[in-house]
Formats: sequence, structure tokens, C-alpha cells
Amino acid sequence: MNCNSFRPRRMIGVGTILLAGSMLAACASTPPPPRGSSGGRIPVEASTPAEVNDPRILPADYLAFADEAAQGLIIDLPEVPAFHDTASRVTILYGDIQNETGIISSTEFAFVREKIKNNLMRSRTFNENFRFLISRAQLDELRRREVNTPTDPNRFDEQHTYLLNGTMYRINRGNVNLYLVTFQLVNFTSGEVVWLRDYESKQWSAG
Amino acid sequence: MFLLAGAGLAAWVTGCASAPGGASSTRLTVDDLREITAQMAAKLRDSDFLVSRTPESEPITVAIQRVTNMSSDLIPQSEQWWLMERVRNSLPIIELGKQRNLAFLIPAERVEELRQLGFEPGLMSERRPTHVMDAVFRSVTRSGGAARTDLYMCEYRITGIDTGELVWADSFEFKRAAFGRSWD
Repeated sequence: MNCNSFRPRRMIGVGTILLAGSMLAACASTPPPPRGSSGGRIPVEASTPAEVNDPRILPADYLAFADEAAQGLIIDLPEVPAFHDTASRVTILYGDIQNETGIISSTEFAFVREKIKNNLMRSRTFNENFRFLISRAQLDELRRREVNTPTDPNRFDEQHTYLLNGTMYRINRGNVNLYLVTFQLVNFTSGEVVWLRDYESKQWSAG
Repeated sequence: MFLLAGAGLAAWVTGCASAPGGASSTRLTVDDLREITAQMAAKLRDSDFLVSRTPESEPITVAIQRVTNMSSDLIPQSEQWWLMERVRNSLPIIELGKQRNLAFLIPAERVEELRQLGFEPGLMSERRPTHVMDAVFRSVTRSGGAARTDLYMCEYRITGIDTGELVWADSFEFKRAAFGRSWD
């Protein structure tokens, strides 16, 4: 009697455990969705379907180029006489970005420029030889807000100052896009190009 | 037994529903914002700019400004301040004053708000920032079909306001990928 009444209860109990276990197992064994296509924070070097189907330059390529350009400037430093003709540090100002791609916003090239600058500013060698200044317009605004006094017109030595300019071009043939991105340092007074790094990227998009 | 089954059911429903990686948006998450500020505070703490300073270094006073948002995401003004204050608050303010001869000032926008409350003219009359700490958030967006990816670059920097020299600048980059209907 006791056994008969106990069996169904035990079966219900075992069934309950199996059900709970299967639910937990189902949850635990559900593979995480692919990180590149379904969301989440992912490494910057990972490529995604959204990028592959877009005719513009891969974002990871921007970062790779920024790394290469910054390292290139550090390596080339001893080879550029213009950088050694001064007793104080060479000044770098942001120049302009000439964007002839037609399909990429100039803000993306500003992104690359900032990344190059940040890579350079992590280098002690760079900081011992160069300094970045923000633009006159930015400094005027900053001083107006913070100290309400005008900017010193002689804040840098023009002879030893260089503009960091960027040019971007695109050749388009059907679904193929060939990009040329160049960053160069140009003397503030003479316009001489004293250093440059360029980068080519070929993109093919199905769309 | 039924309690166990109930717990299992709850874990199944809530645990699976919140599995990571199922985002249908590339919007910055709360975790992103916390990670950004943690990363940048660590980078600033370890920077040559701070490490090379001593109690005998020329004193500097830093005013903070809110984030300039040039990314595709919407960052409300309150969050722009949060992103700056969390980095500043992560630094040992007292030690910075004693060991690095560096002090933070309240932001110019806050000064203006205080002035509007009708304090005496001497309010903040000795406030003289030598540097400004601000940040710029940028993003690069790619989309194809129902997929979208945003590469974010969150840059923090300290600028001297005498010449406009960037004395420290660093950034933290990451991507967010989404697939679905609500990415815009």
C-alpha cells in the first residue's frame, strides 16, 4: 500500500528533476550567438557581416594604418633633418583633410588622425621631440570659457611647426573600390612636405 | 521537488533570455560606459604625464569639461558629465595634490550656474585653470542588410590653455555589432 502510493510520487519527483535538469542543460548548452553578427562588444580587429557588405574601408584597416603611420614616424625621426634643426620640440598642428572619396565621411579620417596622434603621444621618444597643439580657434574658445583672455599670437615658432594633413582618394570600378589614404607633415611657412605615410585599401562589395 | 523545478524554469527563462551577444542595437551600454571610464582612468594614472610629476613640479590646475559627442550614438548631457566625473573620481585627489602638485577645479559651466544663484562677486574669483580635461567620442559605422557595426573611439585629453599643447591624450576603442530590426 505504502509502496504503491510512493511509486507515482517518486516518478513525479524524478520527472520533475529530469525536467528541471533538461531546462538547465538546455540553457547551459545553448551556444552563445556568433559574436560578430549578433551583437555585443567585440574586439576591434574582428570583422563583421556589416563591414564585409559595405563598400567603404574596413574599420580594422583604419586602426592598422594608424598604428603603422605612428610607428613609421618614430622610426623615420632620425632620418628627417628638419626635425633636428631646432633647440626646442617641433610643433604639430592639425591641417586639413581633403576627402575625395565621395562615399566616406571626413569624420572617419579625423578618427584615423586622432588615433595616429594618440599612438604617437604614448611614445616617450615622440614626446621628447614633438608636441601637438590644438587649433587657434579651439584655443580661443577654450580661453574665452575658462580664463576670458585672448590667445598669445606667438604661441609657437612658425619655422619649426608642421601641419598634419590628410588626403583621401577613391577609384571606383563597379563593385570594386580602391582607396588611397595619405597623411603628411607639411612645414607651416614653406609648405614643404617633410614626411608622409600612405595606405592603399581595396574593397569589393557584393551589394 | 516543485521548488527545484520552479527554480530551473526561472533560470531557463531569465538566464537564456539574457544570454550575452543577442544585441539588436549598437548603442553604448551601461557596461561600455563603465569600461570606458575604468580604462581611461587607468591610462591616465599610468601616463608619463602624471608619473613624471613630483611635489616640486610646476603646479597645475585642471578644469573638466563634458564629453563632446561626435559618435552616432546619443549621449545625454548628464551622461557626458558622468563620463568625465567618473574618470576624475577614480584618481586619488589628495595624493595628486601632495605628490603630483595637481588639483582639479570645478567646471566653468558649474561656476556659471552658481553665479546665477546670486552669490557675492568674490565667488570663484581665484579660480585659474592652467589645463582643461575633456573627451571626444567618435564612431565609424558600417551596415549591410540587417547587420550593423560601430567602431567607437573614446578619447580623453588634457590641454594646456596657455599655448594649447596637448599634454596627455589617450583613447579606448571597441566595436559593437548588432543584427536585427532596431539598430537605428
